[in-house]
Amino acid sequence: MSDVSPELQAAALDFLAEEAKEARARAGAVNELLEDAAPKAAAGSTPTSDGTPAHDTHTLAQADFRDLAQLAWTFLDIAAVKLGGAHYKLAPDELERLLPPTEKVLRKYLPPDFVLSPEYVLAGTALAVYVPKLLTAPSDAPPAQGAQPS
Amino acid sequence: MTPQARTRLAVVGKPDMGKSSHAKRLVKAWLTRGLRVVAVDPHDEYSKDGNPTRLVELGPLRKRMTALELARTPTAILEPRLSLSVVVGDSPRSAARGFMLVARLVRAAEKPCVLLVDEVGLWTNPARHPACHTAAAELATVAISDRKKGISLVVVSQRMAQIPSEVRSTVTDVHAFLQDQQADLEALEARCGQPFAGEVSQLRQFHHAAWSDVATQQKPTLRRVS
Repeated sequence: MSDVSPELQAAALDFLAEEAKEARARAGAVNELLEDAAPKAAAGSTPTSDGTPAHDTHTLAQADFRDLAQLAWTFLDIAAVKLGGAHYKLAPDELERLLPPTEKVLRKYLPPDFVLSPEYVLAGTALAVYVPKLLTAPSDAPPAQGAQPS
Repeated sequence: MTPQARTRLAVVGKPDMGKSSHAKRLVKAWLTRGLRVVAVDPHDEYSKDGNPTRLVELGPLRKRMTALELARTPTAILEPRLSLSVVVGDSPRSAARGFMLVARLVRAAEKPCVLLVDEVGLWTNPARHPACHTAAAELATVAISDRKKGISLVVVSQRMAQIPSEVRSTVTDVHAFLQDQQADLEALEARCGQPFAGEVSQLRQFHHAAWSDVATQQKPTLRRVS
């Protein structure tokens, strides 16, 4: 720009300086986003509303295992109580606590396009909770430890 | 019409009324007469190499540059047969800054030319971006002061009211397509008189009315644009 008049040069340089300033600001903003995103990317993808990281098969498998274990433990707990001759009674919020893991387990083993209605979830929970209760006959034995007498 | 240095032409009209096509026809006529023309072109449609769409016909300008390219080679504005579209982007910030660059370069070049500014309503509202305020002031400077430098100004806008009032008051010619909002009709009436504003509110698609301050006593003329 050596042969350009000073006014022409000043106008062009002002524009370039302003654009460079904007570009630096944009680059800074992008860097901040990248820095924010890096730890999340390292730890897995964005967690879902229930705290389970999505699109991470390892973590998802762990969550499923926890759910299955919880259901199995409940099943065995009820069965053990019944086999011990006691009546099992659900704690006040126990059914509500059991619904989310039941839903997760059902979703895991049902086809992806299967519409999982609340009825299915309730049926799944009932299967885990009430079937053992129905299969075992009531007895007059005193309640087992951890169970509440009905 | 052939723009003189004192000419301040406003081409206004709602979208799809033929305003842009009209402006491009004017540019073509001016180029044929050997005038130097530079357009501030937010939608990249005034040059032969512009962005073709089904809805918009491209203009006749021979050269196309982005604002950044022009800033890197500002001597392009000095060309004797200037026929340049400066693509400034259609965000308020980029359009405002692009206009300011072109206006300053045109002024610094000190050569007569026609400066066409398309879609001024895009960046004349200061609420949209801080740069818009500065750009609107720059536009007023061009309109008021730069006639002695031989710069003819053509502003193209969807609405008369979007042209800053300082610029509206300097307008010497208006080519108006349909305007039906009260603020626009009031702005037209303030500059061109009630009969002209009344005509403009009744226009059909692709028709425009022309007003010139040297013929304020004449009845507004209606011309069909093919």
